Amino acid sequence: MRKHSFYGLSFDTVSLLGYFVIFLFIFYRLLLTPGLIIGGDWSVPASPIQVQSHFINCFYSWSSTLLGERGLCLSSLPLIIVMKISATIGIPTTWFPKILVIVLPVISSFSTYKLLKYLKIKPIISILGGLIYATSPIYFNYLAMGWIYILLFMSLLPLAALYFVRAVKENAPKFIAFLGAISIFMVQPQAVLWLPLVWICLSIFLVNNRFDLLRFTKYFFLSISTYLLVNFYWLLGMIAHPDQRVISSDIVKSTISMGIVAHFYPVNIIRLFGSLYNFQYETIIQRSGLFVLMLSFVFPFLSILSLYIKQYKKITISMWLIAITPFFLYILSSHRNLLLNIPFSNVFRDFSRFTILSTFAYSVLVSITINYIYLKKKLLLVFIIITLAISTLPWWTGEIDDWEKGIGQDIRLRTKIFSPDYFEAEQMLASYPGDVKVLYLPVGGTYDLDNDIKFHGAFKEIRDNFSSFSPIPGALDISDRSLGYAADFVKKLTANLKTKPERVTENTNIKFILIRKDTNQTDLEKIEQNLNELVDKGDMSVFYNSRSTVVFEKMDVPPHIYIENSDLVNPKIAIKKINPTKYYITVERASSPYTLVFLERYHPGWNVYYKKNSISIVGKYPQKSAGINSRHAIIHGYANSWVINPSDVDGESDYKLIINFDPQRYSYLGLITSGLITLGLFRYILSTKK
Amino acid sequence: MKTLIKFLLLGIFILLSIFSDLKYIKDSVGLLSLYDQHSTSQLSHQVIDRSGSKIIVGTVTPTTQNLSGLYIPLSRVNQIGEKHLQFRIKQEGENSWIFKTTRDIKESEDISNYPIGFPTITNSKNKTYYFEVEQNISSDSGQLIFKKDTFFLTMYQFRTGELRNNHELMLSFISRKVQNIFNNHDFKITVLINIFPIIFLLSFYRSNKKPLLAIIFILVALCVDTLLLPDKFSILYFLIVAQLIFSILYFHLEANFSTSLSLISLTSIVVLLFWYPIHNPIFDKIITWTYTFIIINLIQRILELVIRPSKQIILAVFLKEHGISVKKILGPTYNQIKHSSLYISTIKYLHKSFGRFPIYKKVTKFNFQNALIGGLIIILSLLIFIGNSMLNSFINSDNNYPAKIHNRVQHALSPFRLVNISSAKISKQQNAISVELSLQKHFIISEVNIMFYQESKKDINIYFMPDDTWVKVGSIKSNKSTNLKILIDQNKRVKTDSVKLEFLNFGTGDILELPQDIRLNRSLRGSLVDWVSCQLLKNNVLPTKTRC
Repeated sequence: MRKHSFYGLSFDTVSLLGYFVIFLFIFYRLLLTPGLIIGGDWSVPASPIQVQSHFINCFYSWSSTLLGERGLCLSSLPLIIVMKISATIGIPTTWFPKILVIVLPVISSFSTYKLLKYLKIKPIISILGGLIYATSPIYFNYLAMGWIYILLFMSLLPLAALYFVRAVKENAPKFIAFLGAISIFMVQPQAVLWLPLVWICLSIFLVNNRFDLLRFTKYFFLSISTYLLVNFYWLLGMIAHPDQRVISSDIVKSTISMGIVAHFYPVNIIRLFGSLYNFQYETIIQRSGLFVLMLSFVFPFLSILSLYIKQYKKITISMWLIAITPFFLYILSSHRNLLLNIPFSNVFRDFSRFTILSTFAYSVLVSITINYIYLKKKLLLVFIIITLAISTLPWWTGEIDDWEKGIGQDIRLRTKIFSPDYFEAEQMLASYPGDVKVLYLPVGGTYDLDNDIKFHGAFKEIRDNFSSFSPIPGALDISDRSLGYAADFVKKLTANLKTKPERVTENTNIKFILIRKDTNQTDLEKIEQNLNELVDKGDMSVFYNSRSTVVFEKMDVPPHIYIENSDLVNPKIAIKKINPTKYYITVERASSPYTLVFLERYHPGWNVYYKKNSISIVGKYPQKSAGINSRHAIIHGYANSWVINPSDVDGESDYKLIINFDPQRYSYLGLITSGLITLGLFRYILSTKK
Repeated sequence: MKTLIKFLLLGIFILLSIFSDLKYIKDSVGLLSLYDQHSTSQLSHQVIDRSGSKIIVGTVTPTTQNLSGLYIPLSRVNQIGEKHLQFRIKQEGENSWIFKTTRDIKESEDISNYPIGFPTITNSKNKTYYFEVEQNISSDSGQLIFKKDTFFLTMYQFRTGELRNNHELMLSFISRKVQNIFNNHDFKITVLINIFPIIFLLSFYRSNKKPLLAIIFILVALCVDTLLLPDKFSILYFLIVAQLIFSILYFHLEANFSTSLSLISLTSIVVLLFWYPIHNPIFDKIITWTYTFIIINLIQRILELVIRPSKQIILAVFLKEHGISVKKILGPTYNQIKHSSLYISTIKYLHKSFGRFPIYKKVTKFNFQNALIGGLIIILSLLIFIGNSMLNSFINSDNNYPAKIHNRVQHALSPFRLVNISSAKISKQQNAISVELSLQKHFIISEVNIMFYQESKKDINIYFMPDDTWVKVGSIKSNKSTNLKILIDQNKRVKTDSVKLEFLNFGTGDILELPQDIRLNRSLRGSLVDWVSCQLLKNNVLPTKTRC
């Protein structure tokens, strides 16, 4: 008993507490600094209004952005639910990312510890192994950048591997249920590739004979199917109604994509470096002197040594197969043109992300070697701990949140206290009743702050969470991904901003233009001046004005859905927004053809359904009107329009229409399936506990 | 049959070798051409009175007939855009020029060995020729200079008929051609590389210790491949891989052999880091080798799981057989550490002294709890040590904008380790920004690299004033960052303990056009310098370990 406990506490508890203490020590300064973690790619809601807006949006496959777009945020639903719960129980929104910063490495360390312990590595070495995983370069860089979802996957990968190994070894399906349960948070699209890859590599460790092979095959398909079904809510829509941004290969050679692999070459790959364009961890190592630089090779060195250890022969081979994956991708990366012919290349174009696989494998391999050394010469452990501590120096020197040391593209964790004006303006917009939109200036998803050096200068821009999670649709991201049917419109909009701001909102239901005065944007003052001139003319009014924020309100804005080009008297329509993917329209006095205009970004997924007035609009889904939808076209350079003839509506003049985004059905189907599967899994887990 | 295969293999290697060496006969100057090397000390820079232009002048005495061109090693100083060159050549003492030409040099053009051709001068042997290279100088275009302490080349062109008819000339040409080929560095490397497998094959056929020879070959070939061909893949790569696979199959080498090779290649990096910076392509080549050995190793290990190997050569036995023992190699060092290291002795002494206390005995039992306590003590010590420095930086930080930039400059300078900057001061005058760096010692500065980020509403030109004249060193688009390299003219380098750089925004040429609003001024000042690095010359000699 004494052997497996520490003053009455189990090793598991001790390790968990230990990890908490270590990461609290690393991040104590960040935790004590007031404000929200933001910058890099960190973008989390800053207020309960934003949490609510983000939470609702995440259920839909159509994002409520400035022009609307195919929603890909469904995959972030589990984390948003956690965020929503934490906001509901009163945890301040600024705490959530700080909690994540502590919890994620603790989970990573602990799940690695559990795997290592199962592999019969000594508990103390298992604890060390967990720490090795969570203090890897990729973890530092991703944490600094705010790549939360990939870190979540990374954190749970060792645990997933443990459950898979145990399921096969012990022929116990309950572990697949455990795997399914944690899969809820493993929402990386690349995971569809990574998990089978890791499982196949583990086959060397798990398969000894034909019987094992059958069992391995059974659990392989069972685990992958469970993963897919648990994540069906976002995967189904992606497969059944693929989005160009995901399935195409158009950005494999974009500047950003090429930048991501800028440091991805052998001497970095073997040290688990070069995982990102931003090279913060690596830069710190390189300027820490020759000795530390030499020690950066200690992990591959210890990993290679593990190949000599006969006791762990099979797991070593399996882990090394996982560890060399990035090197093969490096070879593929140097022939990047090949990717242009491979579907879904956009998903896995970022080869450097595969470093998470080698990081995982190294932590196991290094632990195996240290375990062997420890068994032979216990005192050497102290030497190894010191060596490892030096080789992971950036973690212990407080660099991760030392924003002053983030130079150029190197980014550190930073916090921001937003001006109360921002929240006041947001509150006012949230209480506005109409179905309108707000244009946040500056546009583009990021902005530079003039009055805060932490967020001032190249690569230091702040993520525009106020527009991303706006209570009224407002985000307008401009990235290397295809802007879809609105590409030209966005170009025109950004060009007009500088010269003709009055034309920016033409043919949109953008009611408000919000300017952050403290941002460092070229021509912002000029735009404000122009808008003030429009106020003087009576075309606009000032909705809100304070020291750092001004909101202009446009007087005459077309409704979200309206009728155009009617020859005779305009039909009367009444609109009811059900959710971002469904709108009910009641039409009256429509005796001649007319054009129905819907001011959202054009997408073939938007369809019109017709219902007779006598039938309730709610209830059984009506048939899609083939005639109407055959005339679905782009209007105003970005929006949807349908020409509706009386023959399409059985010659009726009073009837009901539904504008529906069809891919949402797959989201519903996926959500129900995933929900049922998850419930089933938990039920099964509880029954096995009994 | 075996003998036939042996000769066939040997023949293939020799043919391959000859084939790859052939290209050096028709080298970069052509099959019927020769070249000569001359020291650039024969060249000099002069200023012409009539136009104020800087020209490169030189004399050359050809060692053979048919002078037909020159290769001059040029480099750019602050040059932006295209450059026009005028070249002229005449026999020394003559008034009239034999040949004159004008050339345009594009910004991106490689000028490290700039070729200038002219009609063949048939009787050039032992005559002295004078030539000039003149360039247009304007206020903002920088200049071209020749590289010192290197060579410029003269080229001689021959015709087939000329050689066929003149046997003496033919013999002289052949002997000079052979010299030219053997002077070629790449040729020497290729010959070495191609001869290498042949020597191996010959010795391998006669050797009694074939596995050892195979391993030695792989190690030596590895050194040749990584050290001599760091940035290219040659036939040698495939030869080494083939050799390793052949050795594994033929001699039944166990998988630990390739594990050791991967370990050796990885460990060699630690040694090579003393000589090469980490960005050197040599390291990528070595790591590629490490991965190659690991891949071979894994394939072998997987196959061994399926097919049980028999009669394998075990690494430990192999090393013992050949008298290579780890203990033997490391023995003296190990014993030295074990017996005479002050560190170990101190630990032993302390261990003995504290041994009397029961709590120490309990702690040193080294079970899990004690290891954790030990770990906590180490963490606590680290915490005090690191925490102290972190606290200091926390207390010292303030919201003073220029002070932050000041810190960043100081900090940014430190990674280069070439010099300690005692202070950095940034100030902004009406139209200029000055950066003053104080050094702890006197140095001669040759080059300054600065990264600018500018956020003004218009593109700005950056001027640098190394002495009394402004030199345009670049222009930056609005809201863009730019790296600027400022080379300080050799004649203007002085030994100094402070560096003052001044940057002036002339806008569109009119100083008064600089926007005066506070917003711009503030951002311009704040975003001045992201990092500054100085490549420094100490006592006029480049440091051997340049980390820039």
